[in-house]
Amino acid sequence: MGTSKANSGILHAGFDAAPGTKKALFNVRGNVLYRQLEAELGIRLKWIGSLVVALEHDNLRVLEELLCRGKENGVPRLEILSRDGLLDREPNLAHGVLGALWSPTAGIVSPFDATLALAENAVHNGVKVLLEQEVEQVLVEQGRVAGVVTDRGIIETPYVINAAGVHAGSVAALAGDESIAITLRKGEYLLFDTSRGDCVRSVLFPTPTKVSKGIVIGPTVHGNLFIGPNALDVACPDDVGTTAGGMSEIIEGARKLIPNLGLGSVITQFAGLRAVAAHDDFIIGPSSFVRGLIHAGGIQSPGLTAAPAIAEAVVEILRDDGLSLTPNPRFVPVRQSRLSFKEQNYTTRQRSFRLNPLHGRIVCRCETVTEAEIVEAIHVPCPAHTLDAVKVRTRAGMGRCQGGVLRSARVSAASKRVGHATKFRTQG
Amino acid sequence: MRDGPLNVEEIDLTNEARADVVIIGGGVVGAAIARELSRYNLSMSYWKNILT
Repeated sequence: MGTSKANSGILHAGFDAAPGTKKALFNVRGNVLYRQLEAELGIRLKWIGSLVVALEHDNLRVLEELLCRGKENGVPRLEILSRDGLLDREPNLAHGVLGALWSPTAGIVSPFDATLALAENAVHNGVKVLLEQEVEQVLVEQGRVAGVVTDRGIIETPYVINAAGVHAGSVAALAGDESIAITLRKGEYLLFDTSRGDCVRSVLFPTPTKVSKGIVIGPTVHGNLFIGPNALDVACPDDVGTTAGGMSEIIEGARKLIPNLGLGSVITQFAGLRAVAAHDDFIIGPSSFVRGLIHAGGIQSPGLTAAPAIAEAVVEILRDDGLSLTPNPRFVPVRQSRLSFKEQNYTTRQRSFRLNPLHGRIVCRCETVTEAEIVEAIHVPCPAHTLDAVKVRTRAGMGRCQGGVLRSARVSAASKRVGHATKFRTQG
Repeated sequence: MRDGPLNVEEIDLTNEARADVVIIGGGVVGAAIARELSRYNLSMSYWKNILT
């Protein structure tokens, strides 16, 4: 995971993208599909709605434009709230607000949880995973994809789906397709602990500009509060460091919406990269230069929301190209979701402990993560091989102390017990 | 149809392997495509670097 592990975690309603674009089409469809995924895969979602807040009179005209655009895109139940209605709903908002566009179909999701749920279900249904491998070459014979060379061998294949995020241009180039130009745009965030999670009820956007939706304030599905992102074009795909200037920018932006936003509860800062296509729309379709190469690139916001719809489109592209797609009779759409130890009630915790005494050892105090959960994370269908991977699966080290008292030795011991050499690599 | 258990494995590529579709990218888009393709009777699908 690259972009997928550091973004806002918002399921956008779909009013922002220009009508007729892939962003608009897949955003609105993806938003609907997440309701099905929530039921099938047990992905943790909260349909809390979003507000685009007008702070100046000129903004009100933009809200009307967004309302019209959203209706044209097929977004249901949009409405413009007056100042009074808005402050009733969000009492911490700046009292100078003039109104807002209310989108009740917007939501929030853990991007880790969504990605892993999809991946685990895919693996359960027979998809094989190549872990920690580098693609070195895409083989092309007579203008058609013939295989992929990785640092561990060759896979013969007639089809390659290029969903490589910030590396999509490089992957295309490996096949001889130089048409994919990706700009890397960094977004920085601040994350607050759960004591501030109720600061807002919905996701709050300022009125957008041409380059960004602006500094967003929103709760997370785990009860934290986040602010961000800014937008800074960078050259290096590893440039995910945060900056003092960036922090100042997002704090200033957030306080335009919530003036009394204190910083005492900030627990971490992070940055993620978005892959921005030259024409500001998703690149979804077959390569014009190499048959069998299908691009799913330029996936910036609202890519998280759009992902399930993009997947549907890619399957249709493959079908149109002649790939035989007969239904898998053993496809199981449902994933058995697991309650974390923290989420379990007292009785369930007792039962868990009896089944596995390692639940008696707490590895992460802030998030109440047990050693048994660490072991399980290393055993699940998409197993954790790094400390970061353990974190996103269990939330160990993601609480208020951010791993300050994480029992790293126990994580290490657990990984050795199941035969994995877990690498203690953390994100910068 | 696939042979063997439906669980993850690190495929040994010391010999050549074959797949109907290879997905490069293990983010949410790659995972969603993999899951959607698993509805169909394909011999194999892969993707890389699903883990951080």
